[in-house]
Amino acid sequence: MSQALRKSLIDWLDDNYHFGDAEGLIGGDDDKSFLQNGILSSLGFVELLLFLDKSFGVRIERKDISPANFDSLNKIMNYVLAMPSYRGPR
Amino acid sequence: MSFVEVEFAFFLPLVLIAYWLLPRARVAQNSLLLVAGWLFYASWNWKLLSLLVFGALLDFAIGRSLGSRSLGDVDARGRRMLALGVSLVWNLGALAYFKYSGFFAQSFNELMTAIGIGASLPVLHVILPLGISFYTLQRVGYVIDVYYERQKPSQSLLDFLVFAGFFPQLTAGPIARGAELLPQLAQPRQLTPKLLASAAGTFLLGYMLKAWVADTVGTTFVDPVFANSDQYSSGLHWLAMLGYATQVFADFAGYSLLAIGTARFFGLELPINFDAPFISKSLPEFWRRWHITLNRWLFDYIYNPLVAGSGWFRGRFYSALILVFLASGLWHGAAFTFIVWGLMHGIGMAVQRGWDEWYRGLCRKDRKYVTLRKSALYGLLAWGLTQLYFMLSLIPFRAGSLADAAGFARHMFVSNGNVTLSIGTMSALDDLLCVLAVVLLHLLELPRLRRFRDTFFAMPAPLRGAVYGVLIVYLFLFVPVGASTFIYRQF
Amino acid sequence: MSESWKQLCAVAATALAVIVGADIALARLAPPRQLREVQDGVADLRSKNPDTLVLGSSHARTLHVLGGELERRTGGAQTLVAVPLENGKLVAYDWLLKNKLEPLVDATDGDGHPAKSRLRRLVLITEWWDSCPRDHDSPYWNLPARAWTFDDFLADVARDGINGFNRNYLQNRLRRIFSGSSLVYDRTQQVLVKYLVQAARHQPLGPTREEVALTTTQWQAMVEHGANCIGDAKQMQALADISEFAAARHLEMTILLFPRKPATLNERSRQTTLPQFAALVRGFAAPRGIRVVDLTTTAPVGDDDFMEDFDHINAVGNKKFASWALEHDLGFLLQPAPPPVSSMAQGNGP
Repeated sequence: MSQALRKSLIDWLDDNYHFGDAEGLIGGDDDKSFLQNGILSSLGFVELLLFLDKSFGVRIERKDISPANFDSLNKIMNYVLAMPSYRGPR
Repeated sequence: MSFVEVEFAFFLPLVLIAYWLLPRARVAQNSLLLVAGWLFYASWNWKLLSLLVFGALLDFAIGRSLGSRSLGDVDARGRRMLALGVSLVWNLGALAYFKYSGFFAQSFNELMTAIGIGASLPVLHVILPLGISFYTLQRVGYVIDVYYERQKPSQSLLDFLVFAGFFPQLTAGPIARGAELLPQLAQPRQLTPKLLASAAGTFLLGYMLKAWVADTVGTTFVDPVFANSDQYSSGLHWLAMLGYATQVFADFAGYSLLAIGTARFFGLELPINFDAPFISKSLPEFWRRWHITLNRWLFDYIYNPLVAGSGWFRGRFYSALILVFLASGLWHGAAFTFIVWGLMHGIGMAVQRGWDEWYRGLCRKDRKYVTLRKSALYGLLAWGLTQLYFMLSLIPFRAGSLADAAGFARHMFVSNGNVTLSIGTMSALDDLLCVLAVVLLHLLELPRLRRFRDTFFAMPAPLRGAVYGVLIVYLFLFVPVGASTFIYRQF
Repeated sequence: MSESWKQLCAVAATALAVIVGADIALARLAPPRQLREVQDGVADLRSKNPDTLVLGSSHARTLHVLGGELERRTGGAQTLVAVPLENGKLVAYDWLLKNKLEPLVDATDGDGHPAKSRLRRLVLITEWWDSCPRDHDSPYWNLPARAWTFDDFLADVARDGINGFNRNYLQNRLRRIFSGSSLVYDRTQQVLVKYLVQAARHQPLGPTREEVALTTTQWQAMVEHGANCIGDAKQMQALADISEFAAARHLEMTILLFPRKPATLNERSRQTTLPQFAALVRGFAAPRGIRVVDLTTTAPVGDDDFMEDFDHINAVGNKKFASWALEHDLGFLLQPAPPPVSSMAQGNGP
């Protein structure tokens, strides 16, 4: 899995929400639920989607606009890396 | 039929006994739930049952139609959009007609009169179908999920009809997703002691909140002050506002627990609707904890698609927040007071977002602001402001008119009233216990105190039984007599 | 939380034991009372062949006690069935008569003879309150609460859905199922908490002096203001319908004006409400040949013979009243009623 992509996501979480504590909150478990562990709120997901679009060219399909699809680092990375329009690090 | 009314004391045991006497088979169990749901609804108004059933049949057919061709099938796009459109027009059209036609016609007429035009629309006075605000959203959510292939369409008409008319949630939610309820309905349910214990406990807690806390607090020091605002002092206005926050929480959270407990008796899980909202330290957190199923619906089906979609609202968080909460206000009722309430929260959420963005900037520059944000003082201030704002927003929510709301708000700060509330000692103690019960419920949700809850459930069974027995005796003695007014039923 | 069936049963059994134990303990403070209701009167009328049918509000329960004394004194030669309808009102009595009692009164046996062959008298117990309209024209909730049967309830639900009016039927049924419970009974009285506080303070149980004074004032005001509402047209029409019912069946009708607790009457109501109502009733009864017995203030029942509700005669008072009434104004009940005029005209008399 792309470490560079992972770092981009962690950096975004830190820059907008956790200011250096994101990695600690995730605690090495990339399947940890963002919603249930206060890592990202449901409002924050929309901002994440816009960030993914702006940074990596990933335009989320309307049918996929649901926190459930982006509720952990692994889910985000799996989704993003599978998008043909993705233009970020691999 | 309401959970705390006497007819439910006859209805539930009869249906429950019949249900568990049936073979543990999906068709048998769902058939009984369907009949029970229709009887439940018909006991209120059998004529409007046809509206519920027709809408359910329509959405089942539309779901099947949508499922027959995929979202990516270009040739089927038009047909799929048409099917979705028919469902939305029917469901939202019915909601608009029954709930809003009178309000809009009246408002239009008043506006025309105000600007000197004599035109007027007929104001229809129609019966608001019970639960229409809730079951409409549940079915619309299902159809949208099927359209976007987030949910497979139900293949069983029986299962879907139960989903569309499940009596524990029919009156006032919780609003469930197809993905939450349909898979459960597709399986037979088994009776276990854990299920019964959990259902009974949840039901009892819900009853306590709704029939005891909400009704006690409401009649003692909320209703009198709101009814005759000019007679009471400013201090009593603040007390009444606090009381109303307690009342509306207990009333609706209590109802939701009664619904969840009732569903659990039948082996079915409904989503939670309240999660200790009074510990929230921000408005967004508050709306993640209060009326959870409505707000997730509004955010999943309106806010997220708007802000992350490709239309004008893309990236326009502030406008979208205000729009969503205006919609929430309007959903709550066809009155300007609810629109003002919604606007207050839309603006509050927008201000919160603005603050968060500005504070983020500070945090990026200096880490001390991160530390400050995690401090107890910041947390306390944030909590206090959040709760205060929510309670102030309840003034238009509770008041009968904007004028009454303005009067109440004014009297909170300036009042010549000197009438005292005549409450006996026992009543005052009972009121205090009500508020303490709500406080305790919230405290037990805090991570550090959750272990006390676990300690209780680990106690020996006879001890727990004795506690429940004492609690039930207390409720017999102190639950106010008379039908309770369910605040959220009118929605 | 893990739970086994055994644990669950232990929890439920303990909870139930606590509730039942508390119920029994609290019954010592405020024992539940099983009162005679419409269905008891209807059941008696169905199974018996009485000489007198008594219809009235909750005060008809006093005549039930009198009926026992009547039977004792006449060796069973004269019997009485009392049908009490809580909360009264003439319109409600008329509904009860037409819907529940008439089918029984008019029933015939297998040979076509009247089943209630001995029935000769109808006594209507009333007071000024019965002739006033219901407050704010509210519905007669005492009908679903006390007089309806299941088919009445079903019919009303089918028409209007379950609502606050017909819900009274279910509430009453539930209370009757748990009629032995002091906790359930207290939901209608709401005295247990007060009595618990009084018991804890070693005070006598019951209303305080201040509460008695307040209640007295309220009752006096209510009776006094009754002069402004007696004789409501709908109520008087119902009375006329009841009298026609009796006349059509050749029943000797008596209107009994029931005793009031003396403390509830002030000088003004003794000069206005009571005599005005008595005059109204006499004016109605005289042209119809109906007997009027006015015991509002003449029966020897004092304040101590009434219950704490200021309205109903207590057990001791009931016996006193029964004994006195049969020796005085209601002594006619001891004798058979004269045969109907029509049968005498046909030469069927003694």
